[in-house]
Amino acid sequence: MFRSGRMLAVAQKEVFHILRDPRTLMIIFILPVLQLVIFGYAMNMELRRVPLLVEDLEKNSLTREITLRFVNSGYFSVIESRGSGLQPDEPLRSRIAQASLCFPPDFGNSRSDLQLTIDASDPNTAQLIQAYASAIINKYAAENGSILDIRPLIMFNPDLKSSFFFVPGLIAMILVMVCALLTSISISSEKEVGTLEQVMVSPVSPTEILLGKVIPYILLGLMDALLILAVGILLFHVPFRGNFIIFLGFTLLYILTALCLGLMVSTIAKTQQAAMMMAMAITLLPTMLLSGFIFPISSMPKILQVVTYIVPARYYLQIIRGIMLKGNSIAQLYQAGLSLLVMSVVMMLVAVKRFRLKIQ
Amino acid sequence: MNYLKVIASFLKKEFKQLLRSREMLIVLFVLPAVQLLVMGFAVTNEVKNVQLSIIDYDHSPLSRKLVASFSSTDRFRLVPVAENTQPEDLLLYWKSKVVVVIPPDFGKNIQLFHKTTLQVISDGIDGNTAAIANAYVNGCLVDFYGKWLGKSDLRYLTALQKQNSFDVDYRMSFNPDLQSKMNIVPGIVAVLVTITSMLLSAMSLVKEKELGTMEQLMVTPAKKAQILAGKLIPYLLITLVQIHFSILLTWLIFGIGIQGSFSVLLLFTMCYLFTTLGSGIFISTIVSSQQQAMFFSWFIMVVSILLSGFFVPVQNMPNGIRSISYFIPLRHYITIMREIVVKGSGLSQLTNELFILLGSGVLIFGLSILSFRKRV
Repeated sequence: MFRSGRMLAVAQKEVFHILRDPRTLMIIFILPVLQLVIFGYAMNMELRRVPLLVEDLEKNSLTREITLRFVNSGYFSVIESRGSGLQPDEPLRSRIAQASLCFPPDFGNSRSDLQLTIDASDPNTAQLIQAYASAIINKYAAENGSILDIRPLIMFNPDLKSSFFFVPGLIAMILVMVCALLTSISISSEKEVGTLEQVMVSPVSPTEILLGKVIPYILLGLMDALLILAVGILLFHVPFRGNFIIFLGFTLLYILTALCLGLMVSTIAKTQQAAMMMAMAITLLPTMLLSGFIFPISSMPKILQVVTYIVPARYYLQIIRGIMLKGNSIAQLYQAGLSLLVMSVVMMLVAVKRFRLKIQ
Repeated sequence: MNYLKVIASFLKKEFKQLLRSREMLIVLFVLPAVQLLVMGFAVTNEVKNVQLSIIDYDHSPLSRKLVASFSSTDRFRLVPVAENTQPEDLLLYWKSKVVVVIPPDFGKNIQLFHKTTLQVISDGIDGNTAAIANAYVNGCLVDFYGKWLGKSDLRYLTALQKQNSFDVDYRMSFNPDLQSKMNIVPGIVAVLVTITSMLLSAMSLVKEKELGTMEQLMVTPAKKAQILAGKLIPYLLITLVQIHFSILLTWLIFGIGIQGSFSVLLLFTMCYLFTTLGSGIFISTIVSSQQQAMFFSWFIMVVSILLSGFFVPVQNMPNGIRSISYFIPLRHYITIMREIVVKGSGLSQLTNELFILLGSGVLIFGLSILSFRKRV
């Protein structure tokens, strides 16, 4: 028979457990906010101050004009070459410069070729340098009548702010960390210490134990998620364009999935340490690496792309980014929601089956 | 001599314990392999297979050629669309990330050398991908235009255009094929070294605390330095074995060989290990359970990885955060790893980093030894 009083007693006990370990609690609340601040301010792909070595063997008005355009763009800081005849790779290797631009003698009169050497050990930056440099160099031609007029329009995040991208990701991350990682550790530690057995022989039913144990973590996770959301909106002005109720509904669904994952882990792992390692390996890392949180799924090799289909965060990220940034409604998101539902049902069945086996 | 004997017996005990557990084999060989495989392929700044839709209102041979030019690269994956779709809907329904709209009369206007407007609409949620994808689209369009210009009759070109077109020769040094793995894989090895040495040493010290065996160690006549040496030397050796193995793996899996000198790399690694082992000791002094040790190490790792320039160049960060990153040893270790592996730099180009790593090693290691007390 289900009695909410017993369940609440278990929940109260769990709350004491959580509050008695303020260090873990602090990390759970501070780490995501700190991550958000770092991501929001520091994770920026836009080029800044690329040190550019200019080797000007001609020094006429045209070369000065082009050099000036590099300076004025704000992407480059120009370093004058101290002497010619250097190996072009040498300044790159000593990291004085990241790119070097060479105007040959007679540039602008009889010659129109110039050389740009780029340090490609960071290929991404190298490509951006190339793109910006070619835009600057070809500015004349573009100004004076290329007939191709390209009009870019960037939707949902016109300033390309990284915080827009990372706030939803961090919410997904923290929910998995609290709901899957912490619950699995807490259940398996009771198992290890032997207190789970003691509770089992008490009149409290398994459902009451389970619910009592997970409710505090659900609340903790929700609080943490709302904290990140608040910091994101207040500090980074991340928009919330969709419906908050729909957001809450999908978030609860995702929490359910994370809890089922945590339960499944705790029925498989025998010790606390094993649970920790497993939970890290199958919850945190995939959520970070394979969900599209930071790294675009479309850039991964095919096999890894297939693997991402069983990572719950992948769907939740689509949902939460859709609601917050695109103002999506259920019509655009029901497929992702269904995937989450199916996953949690499957994991729940596995967990229940293994749990029964153990009792027998 | 007695002093060393005590350490030796500690080492014997520690190694027996380590070799008995299967975990060690996993940490030594499986962890690097899995991490290199998953992270090496998943962690990439490259932008590939971006879903792109082209709404072609023109249907001329030229516009079809333009569409074909997009499908020839692996940067885009063309998503076919009906002609009367709204570009905004394609983004709202997560069908595509970039939409190019070719206006009617595009082909005709180009042939007549009239101005023609192409619209490129992109989903800005992932700012980095959007910026790079936009640059690609631009590049593709300009390229297409240039090729067409090359083939066509040039008498329409104005004198000004002829005069101001420059011929730029781009050289990509050290990594001519612009492979993202050249940047990421050395970073993963650096992260791996950090995780193993810091987490394992912290866990091993805390485990003794948790089980109560630390107390037993404390009442023995062994000195603090002997206990720590006995605890840390095994992890120093394990990490050194691991770095050899991971470098072998990077060569086997990714075909990345070290351009510079391996002994210089080892020298830097030794200096760096003092900072990570020191952090391990430090963590063990402020926590009381293995769970807390794990969370603390995780905390330190996440912050260091984010600020180390592993994903995003340090130089792109704002000044305040950039100066904080100077105090993160992982940043300097990743730098030297990349410089040595990819560019083949030697000691002469890396003297600054050598002093910084040496200094922080002495500082962190010294402080943490002071904070480690022989009491419970």
